[in-house]
Amino acid sequence: MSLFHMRYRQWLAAATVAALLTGCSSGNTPRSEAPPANNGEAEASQDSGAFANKMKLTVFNSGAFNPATPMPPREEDPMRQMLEAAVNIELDYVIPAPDQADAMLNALIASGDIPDLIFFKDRASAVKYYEEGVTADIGETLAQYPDYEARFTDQQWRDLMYEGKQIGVPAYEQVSGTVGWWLRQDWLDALGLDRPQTTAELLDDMKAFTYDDPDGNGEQDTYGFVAGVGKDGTLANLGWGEVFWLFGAHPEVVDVRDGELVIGATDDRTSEALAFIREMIDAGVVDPDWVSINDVQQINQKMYRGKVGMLISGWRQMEPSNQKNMEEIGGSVPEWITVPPVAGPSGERRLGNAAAQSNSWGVSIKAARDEAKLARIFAFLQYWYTDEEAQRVFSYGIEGVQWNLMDGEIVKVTDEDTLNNYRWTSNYYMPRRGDDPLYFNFQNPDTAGYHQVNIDHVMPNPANAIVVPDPDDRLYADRQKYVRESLLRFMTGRAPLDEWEAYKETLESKYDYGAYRDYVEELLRANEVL
Amino acid sequence: MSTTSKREKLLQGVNYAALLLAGLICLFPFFYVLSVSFTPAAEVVRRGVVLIPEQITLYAYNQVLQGYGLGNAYQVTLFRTLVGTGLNLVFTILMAYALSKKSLPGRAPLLMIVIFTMLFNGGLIPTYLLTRYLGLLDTVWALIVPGLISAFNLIIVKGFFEQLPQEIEESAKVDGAGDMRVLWRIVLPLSMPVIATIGLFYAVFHWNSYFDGIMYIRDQQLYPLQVVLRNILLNFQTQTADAVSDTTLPASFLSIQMAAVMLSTVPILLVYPFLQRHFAKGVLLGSVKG
Repeated sequence: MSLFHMRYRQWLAAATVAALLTGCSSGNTPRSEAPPANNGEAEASQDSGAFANKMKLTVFNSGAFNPATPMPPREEDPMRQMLEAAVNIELDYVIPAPDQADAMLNALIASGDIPDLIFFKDRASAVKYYEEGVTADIGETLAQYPDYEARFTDQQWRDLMYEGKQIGVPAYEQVSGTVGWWLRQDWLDALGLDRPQTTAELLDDMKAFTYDDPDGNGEQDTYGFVAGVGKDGTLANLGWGEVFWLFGAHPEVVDVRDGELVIGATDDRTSEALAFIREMIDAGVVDPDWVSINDVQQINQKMYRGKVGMLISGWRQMEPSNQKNMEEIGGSVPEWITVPPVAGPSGERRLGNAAAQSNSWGVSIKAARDEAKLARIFAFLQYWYTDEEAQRVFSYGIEGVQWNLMDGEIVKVTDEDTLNNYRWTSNYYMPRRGDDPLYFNFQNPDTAGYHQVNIDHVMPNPANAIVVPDPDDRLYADRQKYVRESLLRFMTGRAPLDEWEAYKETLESKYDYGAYRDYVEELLRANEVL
Repeated sequence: MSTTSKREKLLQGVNYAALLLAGLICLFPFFYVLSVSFTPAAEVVRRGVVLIPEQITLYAYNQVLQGYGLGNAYQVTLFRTLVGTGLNLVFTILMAYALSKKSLPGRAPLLMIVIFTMLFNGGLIPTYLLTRYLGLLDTVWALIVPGLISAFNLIIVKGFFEQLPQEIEESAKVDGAGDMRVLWRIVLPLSMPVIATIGLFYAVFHWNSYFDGIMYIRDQQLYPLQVVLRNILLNFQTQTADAVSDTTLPASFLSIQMAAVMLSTVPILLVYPFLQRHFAKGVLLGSVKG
């Protein structure tokens, strides 16, 4: 009896907690209107600029540049002290474990400990948490900080709008053209070839790189091209994506061309690209390891070994540290150069998309309701991102340790001990400029030129930046999986390209592709991109 | 006679060969990890699979110990393993002893509650909330207190206590010993095997656990070893353009990863052979009643 009674009460308690929890998440939904109450007080403190009372500010940064490096305690962290002193806050700078960021954020939110500023890696998550009522529309507040607003371009701000609301502020600037086509110029010279200009020439050169012994060692141990496939089956990031772009569409990208919606997964340009890739693979010019390569490091290692003639990799691959890798691993530093993508069937040379401002800081709805807190958050952001002194510290590190001022110029300290011991400082570098040569610190004078080649061949794609998965689309993941699997089958010849139409029909009939297309179209029209 | 012994010898030879092979297969990955951790990064990339390094370097160990705060993490993990296991034992034994007495009032419902937690738990968020309201967040105690008593271990210990002869305790009582004295002087000395076993269970749990570290600890100075190790491994996969803007990242991060693996496994590996005897035997303790 008593046991039953006790357990009944336990269940009741559990049910109450559950009810409270669900209540919390749905109860927070009203988010549009400006917060009421204590207006005068907050404005007064903001106007005077003096932050009399100390406030606690929690920043949840899952986008830190070096999350594995532990942060020092407050006393040994001059950067944190600087931020705290500037706007009189106690800064709780949380850097979650890289793969547990979402779990930790959700636990914080559910327990009511919502961080004041939350990093979102892409638009989809920023929108998701806004829709769930975790983050606030901060458009009105932003207008009160013109200096801060001027720090970013109109386009960057627009990229963080959703249904006409400003759902976040930029976290770090995205850099366009960080990867591009690399080519062994010395192999071209050795074989007496010209740089390829068309896809046909590209394939011919790859064949020559594979079969004509470009390294002159008398063995057939070289390949024309290498790429990889992501662990989730995506073709986007490890080289194949750029091959698709040569034909004008990318299977994982939505685009608007000549006023028409182009969904890469079913566009006929994608099937042309697939035919070309199929030809590459059949010709044996692709390093067969491509099927097991699933991260960028593996591609780079192929580059260091010196047995491949073309690949897609980062702009900094010919920096001294990487040249050292080539020397140590491959035995020599080959003449790698970045070249523009070859012209596709339409004559267009396209490397990819220009970067849009996809990452952001969201301001928690809880903090946004408290006018004084909101003012402090913006003062903090304004200082961090616009103050001249802060700009140096939060792009280059601690003065006198990581850099010195010589004749008015910033000179970075480059000895290995300093680099290793102060790696943690980069976790504060969110305000660094995306086009700051000193930050990126090129050692090879050619690197900036290579980057420019890449930048010249990326195209803005406002459509793709806007599209986020429809939360009501239950088939989204299945559809994506089907598309990725099918593309791999077409590439490898497991399915002939004659089945392209059948593949599209299956998408329509089994994966409700029409509804997806309508959703994308509607979204783009609502944002006036289409 | 001689033929049987010959056949027996042959059989034994085959057995040994098979066992040796199985042993080598088990050791191989470990040996690979060990080798790579001492090999220069460039050699790893050049040769692919390295078993005997041409050159030996401590570079990877240097990097791990200096750059990623593994020293600090060691202290945290040692603390939680030593203090945590001590507290686990104290609380488990006290509760198990009481529950092993048939005369304990309310014994059945108490046992029910214990077993209930083996099958169901509050889940991530309620547990997080509880930890938070107890004021344990961001302290080492968050790694120790919530798991103070494991229901499974409690039942093993209780079972062991129950099969101790009642008469010994009774004779101690006759001589005027109280409950605590009986437990301390009579029961515990007789229960060393089970204590060694669950002590090892608890210690291994503390040494290996990382999820509580991720959930309850924000101050990176308090990260336990496994969290830091995990972060090092994951950092490799999440290299952004910015992470390498300044630092000269070695060609292969593999050596560093392997060094981290070695540093976190070796201590428990050294302890294991000595305790393994208790470990295997102890699980069966209390399961057979005679």
